[in-house]
Amino acid sequence: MTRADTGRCPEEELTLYYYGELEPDERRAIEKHLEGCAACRQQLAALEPLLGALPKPVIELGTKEKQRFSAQVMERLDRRQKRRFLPLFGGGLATAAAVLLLLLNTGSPPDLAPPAGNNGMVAELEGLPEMELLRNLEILEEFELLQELGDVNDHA
Amino acid sequence: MDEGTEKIILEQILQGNDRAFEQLVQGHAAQILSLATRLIGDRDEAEDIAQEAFLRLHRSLGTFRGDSKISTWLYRTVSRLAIDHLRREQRRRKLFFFRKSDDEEQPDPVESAAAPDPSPREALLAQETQRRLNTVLKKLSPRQRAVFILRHQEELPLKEIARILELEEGTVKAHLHRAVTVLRHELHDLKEGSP
Repeated sequence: MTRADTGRCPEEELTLYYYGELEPDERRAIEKHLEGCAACRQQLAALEPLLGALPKPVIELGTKEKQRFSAQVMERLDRRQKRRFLPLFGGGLATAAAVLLLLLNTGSPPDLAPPAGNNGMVAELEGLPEMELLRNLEILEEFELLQELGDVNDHA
Repeated sequence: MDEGTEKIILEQILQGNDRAFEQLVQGHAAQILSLATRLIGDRDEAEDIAQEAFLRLHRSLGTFRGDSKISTWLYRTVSRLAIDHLRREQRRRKLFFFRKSDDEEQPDPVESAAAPDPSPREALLAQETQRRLNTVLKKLSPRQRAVFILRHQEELPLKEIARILELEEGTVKAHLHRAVTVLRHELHDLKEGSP
């Protein structure tokens, strides 16, 4: 049952009537209502010119514009595919660095060990290569994080 | 692009032919960019949304079962991306209490494409009507705006719009009516015969 059947003014149905979105029985009910309701007839009469006057713009794209657009899509696609590859490469590099670090730790020659009685400064200086590797690992992790953030932003 | 051609192109893409994908993009570019521009109201942002839709299509092609046409799939994706974009914009505006005044807004490319070969006076009126319509559309919720654009400008049936936006048909009807009510209130002075 529509609001037209109940005798109330069916505002939403009038909009749908204009757009031809009513079922046949609903349409008949509205038409019957319109016969007896001057307010709804007036409302519909005002709706038709207003909606009819609203522009329905169409964007025309020439061949060059289409080519430019598709080239941009392909460029973004290429960038994304490369980005998907880079974390894998970065991850491999990080693993290799971790293995190298492990080897350095386990295979330290005895003469590199800090002599007894030295203050901590020497030990710190000798630990520099490891620190460098750790820093590189951190950079790699940050790089991967940045890549992920980039992907998230791209998806957003 | 007819369905037969599209099917052949799809097969070529699945075989790794990027040139075929580029061809597919070119075939749908105007329609999808047009829709995105109407939904967003800004050409640059619309290009970004339209491109994103094609990138997502490329990612999904492996699982594309062909239940719907490519154009339907793109319509759905662009509409959803546009609604998300408009929601983010609204949130950002609320968050920063920032909203561009009408004077600051860039000219909309849709305005200049509003009427083919009009007289200067008609072109001016068309631009003014389009500018006012864009201002009113910003007062609608993203979903109301999308429903109105898809029904009034794209002329899609409400059942199809409900499918695209994954909404109940009754909700789509309510959104359309709400949009029309706001437009009627804000643009009541537009007369029949205006461009």
